[in-house]
Amino acid sequence: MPKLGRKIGTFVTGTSLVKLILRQKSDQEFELGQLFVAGKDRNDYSIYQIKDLYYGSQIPENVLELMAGYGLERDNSDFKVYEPELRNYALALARPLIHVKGNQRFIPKKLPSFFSDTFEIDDGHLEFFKEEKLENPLTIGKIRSGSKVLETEVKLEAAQVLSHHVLIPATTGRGKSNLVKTILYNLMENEQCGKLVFDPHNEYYGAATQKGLKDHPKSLEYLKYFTIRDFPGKLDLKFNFKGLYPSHIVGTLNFTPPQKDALFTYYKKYRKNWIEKIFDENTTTPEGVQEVTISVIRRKLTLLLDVETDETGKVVKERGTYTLSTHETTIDSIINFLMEGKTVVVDSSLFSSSEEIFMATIIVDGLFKKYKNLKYEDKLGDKPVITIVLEEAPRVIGQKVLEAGENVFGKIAREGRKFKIGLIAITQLPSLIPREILANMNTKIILGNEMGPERRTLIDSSAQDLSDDYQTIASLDIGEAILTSNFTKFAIPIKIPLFEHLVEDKTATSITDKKIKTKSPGF
Amino acid sequence: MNVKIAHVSDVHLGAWRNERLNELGFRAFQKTIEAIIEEKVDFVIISGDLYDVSNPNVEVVDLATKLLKELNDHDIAVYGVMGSHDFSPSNKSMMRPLITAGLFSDVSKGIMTKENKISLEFTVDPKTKIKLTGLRARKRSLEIEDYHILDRKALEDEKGPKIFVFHTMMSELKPKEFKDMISAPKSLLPQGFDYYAGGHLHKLLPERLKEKSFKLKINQKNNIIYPGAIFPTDFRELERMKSGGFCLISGDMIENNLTLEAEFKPIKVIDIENILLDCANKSVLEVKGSLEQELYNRELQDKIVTIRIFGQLSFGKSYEIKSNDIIQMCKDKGAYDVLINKNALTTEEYESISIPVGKTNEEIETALIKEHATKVKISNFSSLTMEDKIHQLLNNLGEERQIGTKVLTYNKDLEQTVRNIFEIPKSKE
Repeated sequence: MPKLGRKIGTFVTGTSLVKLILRQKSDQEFELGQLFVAGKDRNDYSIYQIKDLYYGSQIPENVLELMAGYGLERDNSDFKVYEPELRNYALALARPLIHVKGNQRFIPKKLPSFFSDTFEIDDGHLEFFKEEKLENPLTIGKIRSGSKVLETEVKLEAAQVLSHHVLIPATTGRGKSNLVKTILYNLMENEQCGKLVFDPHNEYYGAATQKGLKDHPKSLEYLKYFTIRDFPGKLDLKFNFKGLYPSHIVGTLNFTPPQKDALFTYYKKYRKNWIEKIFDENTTTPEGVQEVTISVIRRKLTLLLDVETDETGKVVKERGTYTLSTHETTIDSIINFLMEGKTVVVDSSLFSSSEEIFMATIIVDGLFKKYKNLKYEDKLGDKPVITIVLEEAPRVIGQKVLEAGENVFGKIAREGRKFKIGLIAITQLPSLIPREILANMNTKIILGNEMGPERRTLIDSSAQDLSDDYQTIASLDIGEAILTSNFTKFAIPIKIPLFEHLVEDKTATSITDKKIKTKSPGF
Repeated sequence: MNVKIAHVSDVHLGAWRNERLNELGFRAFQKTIEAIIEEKVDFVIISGDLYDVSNPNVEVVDLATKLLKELNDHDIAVYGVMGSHDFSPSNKSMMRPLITAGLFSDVSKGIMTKENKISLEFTVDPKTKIKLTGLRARKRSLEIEDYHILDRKALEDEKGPKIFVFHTMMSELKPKEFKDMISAPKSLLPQGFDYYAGGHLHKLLPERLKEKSFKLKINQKNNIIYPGAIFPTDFRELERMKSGGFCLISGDMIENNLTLEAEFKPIKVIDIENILLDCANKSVLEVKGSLEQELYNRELQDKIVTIRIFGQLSFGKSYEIKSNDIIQMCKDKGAYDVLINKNALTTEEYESISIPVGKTNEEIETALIKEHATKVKISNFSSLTMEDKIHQLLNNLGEERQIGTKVLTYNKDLEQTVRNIFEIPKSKE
C-alpha cells in the first residue's frame, strides 16, 4: 500500500467536522493555512487545512506558570520537564477541504477515525489538478501550504472563469498589480479571450526600467497599447465625435432632466453630427429645447471634450482626446483587436477619474452593443470571451453609483455572462459593491486585507465557506492569496509568482525556439 | 526657392478584367500625367501600386513606360515605392524595367543590419535637394513587421527637407468604412519628416481636400496625405468614389525649411450612374418592373452604370433576373458600360448564406481564411501564422505548371513547397 507521506501529527478530537483538533509531532512546526492529508492511502485520502493554532500540555496551567517563573527569576535553575515532547505540544484546529477517492473528488462528509495520523502534503496528493484537461487554461499561481510553495499550478478554464467575472480585493502593497500582470501575461497568447485593460497607473504595459506586458515574447503580435504618450508602436487614444452618444455623456456629467432631454433631442435630429450641431450657434434650436439649456450644455461639453470654439460655435482647437476630423475607427479597432483575442491596454493615467470613466464607457458601450448584436444574430458562439480589467471598480459598479443610474458596467456585471463579457474588478473596498453583484462575481482572488468589514464582506459572498479565514485573510503576505471560485472544489491557497521572474523564465524559453528575422524581402 | 510636387497613388493599371473599364483606367493615368506636365512640377511621387499586379501584361507595361518617359522628357523625376499589389518578394516585379531605365526611382532602399534593423537610405532629388526615403509594401500589409525594426533614429536625425513615402494604412486615419482594413499605428512612422506621402487607401485623406479650391497647410498635425486611387478599381469603388485624382504639394524652401500646402486635383474621365435596387418582398416580375422604371427615369448616355440588386425575393429565382437583358436595356440608352452585382440577392427557396455586402473577392477570401485559420490547429502555429500559411499555400497552388516542366517534377516541387510552408519534415521512405 503506498504510504501517504511523512507523518506530522495525529487527530485528537474535534467539536465538529469543520473544527477538528490535531496534535503536532514534536519535530514539526505547524503553520496557519498549512495543508496536510489523512486517510487510507494515496487513492483514498482527504486534504485538510490548519485554521488556528494553540498550546496543549499535560501539566496544569498554574504549574506551567510556576515553571516559567523559575526560568525567569532563578539564575541557575536546572529545572527540566521529564519527557517534554510528550507533555508539552502544539495543537491545531483544522477543517477538511476535499476528499479524494481514485479519480473522483468529493466535499468531505465524514470524520477521520480516532487517532488517525496526518501527513505532510506533497505534489503527489495534488495530481488531480494536473489531470484536469482544460481547453483554455488560465494559470493563476502555485498551490501554497502555509508559506511553503508547492510545484502544482492552479489552472482554471479561462473562458468560463472570465465570463463569470473575477473580483480581486486587496489593499495597496499586497501584490495586486503583480497578480493582474501575471494573469494578463499568462493569457497573452490565448486567442479565445480578448483582454481590455484600463490602466489608471500606467503599470501594466511597462516602461524602459519597469517590466510589463510589452516584455512578452509575442507582444508585437498580441498586445495593443492606446495612449496619448508619444512613442513608436503606440496607438493614439483619440475618439471622433461621431462615435459619442448622449448616453455616454449623461452617465458622466450631471445634467438636469431638461438638459438630458435636449441631448437626446439633438441626437434624434442630427444623429452622428449631434455634438457638432450643439456647438454650432447657427443651428436652429429644436422645438421644446430652451436656448439657455443649450448654452449650459455647450459649456459642459466644451469642458468634457476639451475643445475650443469660436464665436460661431465652430470647433477651432481640439486639445484633448476628442476630434472632429480623424480617428473614426478607434472604437472599431479596439473591438476588432479584442475579437481577435488580443490584449488592449488603454493608458488612462494622464486623465482624471471622470475622464477615464467617460472614455471607458464609450469603449465598453461599443463592445457591449457589438456582442449583444452578435448574440441576437446567433453568431456569438465562436467569438472569444472578453474580459475587462477595471481598477477601483466601485467607481462604476458601486452601490451609490448604480442607484444614481444604470451604466454599461452595471449591465455587464449583471448580465454580461450571457454575452460572453466579464469583468476583472479590482478594489480595496468590496463592501461598496452591491451584494447581488458581489455574488455574481463567481471567482475571487483574495489578497491580504486588514480591514475587518471588507474581510467580512468577502467571506459572506465567497463561493466556498471561508467563515474561519477571517484572520488568515489579514495575515496573507505579498503574493499570497486565497482563490475561491464556483469552478473549484474548494478555496485554494495560492502563491502568485513574481511577475519579473515569470518574464525572465518565458524569455529564456522563447529565445531557444524563436526564429530571429534576419531578412525581409527587398532588404 | 519654390517647390512643386505631384503626389499620385494607387494607379492600379490593368485592374479591370473588363477591357473597356481598363481603358478608362489608362485614360485616367494619361490625364494625370498631362496635368502634372502642365503644372510644371519639380518631381512626382508615386506611393505604391502603379500596377495592379507585379507581372502585368505587356500593354500595361508599355503604357506605363510611355507615360513615365513623357515625364522624363520634361525633366520631371519620378520617385516612389512599390505597393502591396506590384511588389514582388522575389524581385520579379515589372517595376524593375522602369527602375533600370531610370524612369522610376525606388526610394525604399536600404540594408538589413547585423542588429536585424532595416537601415533605409535617402535619395536626394538633384533639382530641389529634397531627400526622399520610404518603405515598400507587401501582400496583406506584412510590411508592418518591418516598421517595428526600422532604424528610426538615423532617419529622424537626418537634417534637411525630407519626405517619407509609404504604402500602409495608418490606424488613426482609417475612415469608418474601412474599419476592417489591416493597419499600423501612426506612431510607427519615423518622426520629423516634412511630408508623408501615403498610399494604399483608395480614398482621399484628409477628406476636406475635396472641397473646391481648399488648400491644406502642411504642418506637424497635418502632414500625412493619401491622394486615393486615380480611378476606381472595383465595383464598390465605382459606387463610392466616382472619380479620383492626385495631390499637388507646393510651397517654399528657405534655408532647408519647407513650408508646404496641399490641394487636390480631380481627374475625371467618365460619369458614373449608380442604381441600388432593394428586392425585399418583391417578386421577380416586380423587380424587373422597378428596374425598367429606374432605367427609364435616368440619363445613361456615355456613362458607366452600376446596378446593385440585393435583398430576398418573395417569389422567383435570382437567375430569372437576367443580367444580359439589363445590360442591353442600358446599352440601348447609350451607356458606356454596365456592371451588375447580385451577390447579396437571395431567394426564399434557398437557405440564406451570408455574403458581406460590398466586399471585394479578395476581402471575402481574406475574411474566410482568417475565420478558417482560427479553427485549424497545426503544430503550435498561432492563428496569424496559420492565416499567412494558408495564403502562401493558395498562392503556390495558383502557380501553373510551366511549359517544359514534367508533371512528376511539378508534383515533387509542389509537395516540397507544401512541406516548407507547414514545416513538415520529409518522410524517411
